[in-house]
Amino acid sequence: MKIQSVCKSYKKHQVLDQLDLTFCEGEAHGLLGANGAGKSTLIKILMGLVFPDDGKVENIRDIALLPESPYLPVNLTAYQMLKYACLVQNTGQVETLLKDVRLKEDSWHKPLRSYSKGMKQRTSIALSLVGNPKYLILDEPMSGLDAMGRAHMLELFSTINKQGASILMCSHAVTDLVRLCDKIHIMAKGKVVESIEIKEHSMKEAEALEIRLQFWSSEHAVD
Amino acid sequence: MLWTKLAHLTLFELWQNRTFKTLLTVALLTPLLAVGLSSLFLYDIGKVYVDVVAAMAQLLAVVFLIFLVVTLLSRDIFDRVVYVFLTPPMSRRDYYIGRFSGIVAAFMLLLLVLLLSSSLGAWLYLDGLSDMYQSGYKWNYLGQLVFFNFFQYISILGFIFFVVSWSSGNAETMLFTLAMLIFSWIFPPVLAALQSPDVMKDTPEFVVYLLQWIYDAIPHLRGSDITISIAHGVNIDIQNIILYVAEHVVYGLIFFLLGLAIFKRRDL
Repeated sequence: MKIQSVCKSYKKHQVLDQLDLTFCEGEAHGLLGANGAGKSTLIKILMGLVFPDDGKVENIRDIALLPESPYLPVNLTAYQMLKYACLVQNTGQVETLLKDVRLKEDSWHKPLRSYSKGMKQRTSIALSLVGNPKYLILDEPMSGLDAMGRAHMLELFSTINKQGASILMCSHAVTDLVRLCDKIHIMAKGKVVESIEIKEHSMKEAEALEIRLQFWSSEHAVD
Repeated sequence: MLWTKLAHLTLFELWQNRTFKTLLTVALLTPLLAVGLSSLFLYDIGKVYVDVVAAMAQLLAVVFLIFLVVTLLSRDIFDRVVYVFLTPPMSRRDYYIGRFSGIVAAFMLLLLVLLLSSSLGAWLYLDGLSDMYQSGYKWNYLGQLVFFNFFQYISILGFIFFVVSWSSGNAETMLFTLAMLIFSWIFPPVLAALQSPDVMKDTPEFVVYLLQWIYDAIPHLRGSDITISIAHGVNIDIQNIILYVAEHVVYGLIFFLLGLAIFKRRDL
């Protein structure tokens, strides 16, 4: 996936400024940055939800998004929503996916409006996995999940990545990024200011990354 | 044909909606209201029955459009539920057509329930009455009523899709939809009156053109009036009826296509 010199501004506010990013099939990359760094806009551009003002973005068909919040039609049930998504993608994995994300079986047929935030997030994750997409974009995938849920989802994403899917994960939880990703890009002022290869996936690396992030955030703040 | 899957889901989603269920219940209970109100009159009970069903058809359509369609589309776009649907291979075009078709199907279902319940009510209630009391009612009037209502509100539905494609929030969409409904109800009779030869003879030419242009630019929600006119013994040419339906279909289609063109290019 190649993103070349992408620019985007909302009215006079420049959100992405000549951004370049490349990642190959099967890799897991992370996006890190302060609020307003342009992470979500970049993700929306990759999904074709927002159009760039300038630059080139490769048009990928086999791509799925887990949005930052679980945006779901609340009158439907998780099962109905998954069934619809499977019909669109031409697969029949409804029950497997619901079990994969550990959504309790007795809630499958309840309307989504009665779900807690964590349950909605699990449904949203299941929806993003329908059809085993080649590229999976995760925007704050752990929001609303409990500690057990976070650990399980990290394991699930790691398995999916090992099976060949490329992952681009955007999160403020540095430890989650370090555990999952091969490379982490720090964004500030609409640009990738630093790309760091993760070798050990350890706490030590996470701490080092926190320091780099604080540095870039303070640079951003000074400007 | 991915849009057919979304159309099916939309119909199902609306079916699950409590407001839609309430509307269906009201449609089922309409004949009771019509019977109750028409029995207050001594003569022309059939005409009153048709009048009440016509009023309820309008009311159901307006509530459906404002409280269900505007809410559903606003939630999709402004609460970002659309992100769930716009995952490849579903394109923006498929989404737009799918949602429209599903909503049209739900609207047809609502009108069909109204038609069946009011026809059954008429059959049970009016059939036993003598011709004098039945006056103004024929079996095909209710069908005509539903038919005209369906097409006239398709044009408003096309307009709502157009507004949603560029508006920036729920309130804006609601405002423009209400404005269009009010314009379509209030302005055509006023404009028609202004264009009468007596008024026109003293009016400057550019004002005449302006009035004519405004008159042509908004859809005229007179479907129920046509049926009521027929029920009240006014003869309406079939050519006018065809033109009336064609006007609404073309109007709806133009706004639908304009909306689609904008929606394909807007940031979500």
